[in-house]
Amino acid sequence: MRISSATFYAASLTGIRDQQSAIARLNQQIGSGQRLLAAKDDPVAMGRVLALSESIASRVQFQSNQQKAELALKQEHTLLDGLYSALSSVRQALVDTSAGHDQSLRDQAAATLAGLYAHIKSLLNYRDPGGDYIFAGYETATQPYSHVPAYDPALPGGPADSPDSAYGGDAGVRRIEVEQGRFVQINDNLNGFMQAGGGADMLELIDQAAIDLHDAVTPAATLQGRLDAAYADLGTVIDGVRNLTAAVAGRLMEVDDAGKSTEQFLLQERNALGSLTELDQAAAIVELQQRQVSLQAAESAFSLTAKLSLFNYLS
Amino acid sequence: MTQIGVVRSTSGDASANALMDQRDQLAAEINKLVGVSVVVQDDGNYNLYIGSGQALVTGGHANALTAVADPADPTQYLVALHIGPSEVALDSRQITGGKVGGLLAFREDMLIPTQRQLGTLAYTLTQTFNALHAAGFDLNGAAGGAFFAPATLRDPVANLNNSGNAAYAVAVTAPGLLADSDYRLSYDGANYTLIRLSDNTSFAAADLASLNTAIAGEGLSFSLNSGAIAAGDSYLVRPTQYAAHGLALAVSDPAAIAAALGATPGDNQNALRLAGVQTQKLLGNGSNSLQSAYGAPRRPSNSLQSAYDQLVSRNATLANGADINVTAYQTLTDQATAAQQSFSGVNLDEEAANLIQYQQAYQAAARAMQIAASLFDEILAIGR
Repeated sequence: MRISSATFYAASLTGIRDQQSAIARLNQQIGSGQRLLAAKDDPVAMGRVLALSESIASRVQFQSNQQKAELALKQEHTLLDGLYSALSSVRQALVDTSAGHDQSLRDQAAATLAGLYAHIKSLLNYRDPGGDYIFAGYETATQPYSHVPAYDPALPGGPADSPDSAYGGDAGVRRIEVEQGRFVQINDNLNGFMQAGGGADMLELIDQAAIDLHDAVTPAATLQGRLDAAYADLGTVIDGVRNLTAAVAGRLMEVDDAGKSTEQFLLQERNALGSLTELDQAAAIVELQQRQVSLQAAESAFSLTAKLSLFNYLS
Repeated sequence: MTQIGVVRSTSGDASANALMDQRDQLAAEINKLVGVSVVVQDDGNYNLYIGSGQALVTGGHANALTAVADPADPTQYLVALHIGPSEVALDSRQITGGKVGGLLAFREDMLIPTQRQLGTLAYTLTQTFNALHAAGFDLNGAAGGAFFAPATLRDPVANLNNSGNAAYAVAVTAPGLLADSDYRLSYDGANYTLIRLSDNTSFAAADLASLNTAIAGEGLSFSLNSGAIAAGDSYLVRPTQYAAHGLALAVSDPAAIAAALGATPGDNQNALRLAGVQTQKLLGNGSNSLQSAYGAPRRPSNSLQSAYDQLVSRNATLANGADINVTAYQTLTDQATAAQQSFSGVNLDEEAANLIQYQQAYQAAARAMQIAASLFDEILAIGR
């Protein structure tokens, strides 16, 4: 074929230009470590890359949800443990002390109960670091348990009624999504066991027991009847606390389980994403070397042949 | 362009040859701008045709090309051909090749569909999210306001040639039913007709209310803002074209996020519902054929995220195809140029060889002259 001089130059230039653009692209790929520099480089892979990235982002969010749920549940678990041991101490005080005991012993037990009462009340009204009451349902800004104790060691012991108690929260429970479509409850309502029978709640019951122990007027037999009833009611409350503690522990395990599977999915998806987007560095560097050799060859071939001209021999 | 038309070639006329070269160059330059077909006449003159055969250059006469507002959507431009006093707007699909053809194809095949799909996404997101948000209560117990700035739909665009002055508004009644298409609303004096432009499916009714009933499956409805329509009027409907433009958060205070379903501070039920929007199937899959093929109504089958993924994949595929076309056409252009050059291009070595040949012929002729002269000298010497 007859080649015009312009074609000859243009063809050499095209070869050099192609090699240069391939080298520029390889440089970009090696610099970024990414195989795909733009969506158009591999539209099919890009679709999967987007889906995987989206899935990974959701799972990372679920991980943070799991952490939140775990913290909330651990906090609740700790509080329930505290509640359980305080209530056990109340029960122990009722076992150790009877209405037939010496008044000074009974007053001592009453003082112990008053101390435990305050501790239990502070646990029930616990606020998380954000300042929200955790046992108040959705009414997190309202103190749920505001019973006012009637026991007063300064007064001479006599018959008295602990005031009625009212719950300031509501029945709401918060849930957190720990995996796609999997919700875990992260707060509880204590109303299931707070009512200790006869319409009185746990705080009222303990306050009343302290009043009764401090009571030096009412006949011992009557008092002992009341204390025995309080003891029985307390057993129900403690059972309720233990059941709830077990339920919270179960939820903690569920969150932990979700965490493990999320971790596994994340690992798989990150691997899949990596194999789609990451560059095979070694292969890229070898290709870069090959291209460089080709470019050099094209350039020197051009410079050698471009010098050739019949005009050089005309003088 | 008139220069292209007539170059009368008289054989051996050097200036005519130069002009013809110039004409070929001009024709090539025009083709870089817009695809034209060159038809060589019997007398050697060129006629240039554009689009579906409209004359750009005939005989000694050239028709001018200008950009004019598209009557269907005056914010967009079309290429128009001036033939005598009249101006003929060319359909964008008829202009192929060249820079102008490329720009128009990009606008029609890539820009407008992408704007529409992105707009549909933005509109659906803001509507769905805002509706859920408005149903909840914020930290202070107040009803939720707009979470995103509400997306605005583009009103149907009145055709420049309309004789009536009606202005319409379009509303999206069900984002999940939206087809991936523009529409044309027209009125013939008796009936309103809505045409889905992607497949020319049409819906007709005697009044707007009946039309709205007929097009319920399209997820759209129309209402008259002002004025009155006249027979022959038409409107281009691209509701979601610019809906993505103003996508912005309207809530800046975290306390104003309506996380609660009741007016209590610790309630997160609405937050869970809002989070669910991510995986909710809100959008159709954009295919128009489902309904006609199976007679079943379209049903939302795509989440916002998967619709977005599809949008990116679609554009990536188009860009990838464009890359492949560039390579293919580059090869074709190179081959054509090489073929043309092999026929008419200059090869310097060839010229040098020719030069040597002529030089030698010249030297030979000179030598012959010299010999002849010396012969004459000899003869004259004999005669002396």
